[in-house]
Amino acid sequence: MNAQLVTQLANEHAFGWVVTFYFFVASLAAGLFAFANIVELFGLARLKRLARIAAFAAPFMAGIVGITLMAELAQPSRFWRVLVRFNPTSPISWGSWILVIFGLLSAVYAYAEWKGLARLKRSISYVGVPLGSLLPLYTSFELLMTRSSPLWNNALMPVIYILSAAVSAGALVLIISALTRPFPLAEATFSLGRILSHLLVYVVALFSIELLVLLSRSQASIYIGRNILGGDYSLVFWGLVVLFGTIAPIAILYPPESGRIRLNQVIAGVLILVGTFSLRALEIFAGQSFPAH
Amino acid sequence: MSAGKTPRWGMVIDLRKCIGCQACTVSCKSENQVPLGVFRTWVKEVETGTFPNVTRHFMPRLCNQCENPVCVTNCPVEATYKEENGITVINKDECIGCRYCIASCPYGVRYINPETHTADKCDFCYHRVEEGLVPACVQTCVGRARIFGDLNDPDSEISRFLATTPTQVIHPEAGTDPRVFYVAADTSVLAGMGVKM
Repeated sequence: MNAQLVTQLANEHAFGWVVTFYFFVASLAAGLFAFANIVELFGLARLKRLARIAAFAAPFMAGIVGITLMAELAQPSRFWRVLVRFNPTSPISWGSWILVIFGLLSAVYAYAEWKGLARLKRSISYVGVPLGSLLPLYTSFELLMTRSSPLWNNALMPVIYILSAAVSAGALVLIISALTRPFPLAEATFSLGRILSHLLVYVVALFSIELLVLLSRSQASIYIGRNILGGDYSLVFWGLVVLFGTIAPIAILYPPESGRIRLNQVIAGVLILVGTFSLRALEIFAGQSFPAH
Repeated sequence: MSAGKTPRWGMVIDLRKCIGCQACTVSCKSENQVPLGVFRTWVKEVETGTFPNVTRHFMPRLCNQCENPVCVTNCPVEATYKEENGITVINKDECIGCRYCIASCPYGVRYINPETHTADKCDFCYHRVEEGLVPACVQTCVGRARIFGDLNDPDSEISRFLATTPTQVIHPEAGTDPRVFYVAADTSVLAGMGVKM
């Protein structure tokens, strides 16, 4: 097609950096809480120290998510209405309640961890993993249920969001573990690094499949796919997501000789966080890049 | 208006008559006091072809007053809703400004009003329609490219026009069933909306 836009008076895009940050921190909070609960549920004694840190961090991050969500509103003082006027067809209605329940439950869990209330912790851990999955799931549905972008309106999105949430939380745990002195979890941290390497491959593979699907669909989807692979967002995708966020951490974490070095683990963890954040940013910004309006 | 039946408002934009003068854009701004930087309606201009065989296309844009509006489905506080007459409106006292309706809309016609800090968009000049007038853009269109009327009334100008003239809608694949119809829209412009591939 040979058509060129001459004049365009258009309204601003809906989502920007605040939503990107909010999605990213939500996935971190969810992943950390799920990790703490998995350790509790399966009695992974060696990881309990890490799980304790994750349990304390999760409600703190849920709080950041809530504040960010309110700050993003054009009418922040009306935030409570989203809890009162429930619209069952709106992902935000569901998500707001999921966030509230998640925040409360993760706070109770952290309290139980602090006070050593084993039975309470155990009880919460039965619902902790599904609840932890619901947070990134809802953010993905927030994008999925729109009809404005083929990148968002894609059935692979929830899987990518849950996996990348697990990866980003895992990377944070990896960093904390590597920085913990006197480093009692050397072998477990190395294993975690290897697990993350595998998950990273799945995340990028799934996103690449999504891109391939985009390239075979409508004009808008082809435009966005090309924009990510070779256009305005190619540097973010190839540079930050693929090279720095996936290949480099795998190259660091997978070989035993480098994967066991603490500094390398910290560097790899930071790179993974940069990669997963960039992936969120890519989804938000590239998803709105088609000037269809 | 059809006797005994609630009207269902719709609009036809005959692109054969649109000259891209932006009078609709200006009249809408004036009528609805739309702040600077945001738009309820505007005319997009797209060029197709290769010099010297080029054509300029004008594509007026506005809320498509969808039969299945995704903004209504997705609004978390039900601040945006569909009136019986088919016009999707926003309750500014209820809107929390979450921007989700803006993200949801396949037509990009919503915005946050910088003065009210709530979502806003074209409502077919609801206040005028209630008074029996046509929307400001229809009133002011110099080429008489816009036809506004009751789709439920088989004798209305718009129904008679639609019965005899083939029309198109934007993004039919979105499944929103728009109530703004275009006549003689260039298919390449309609599909890509002027994006150079």
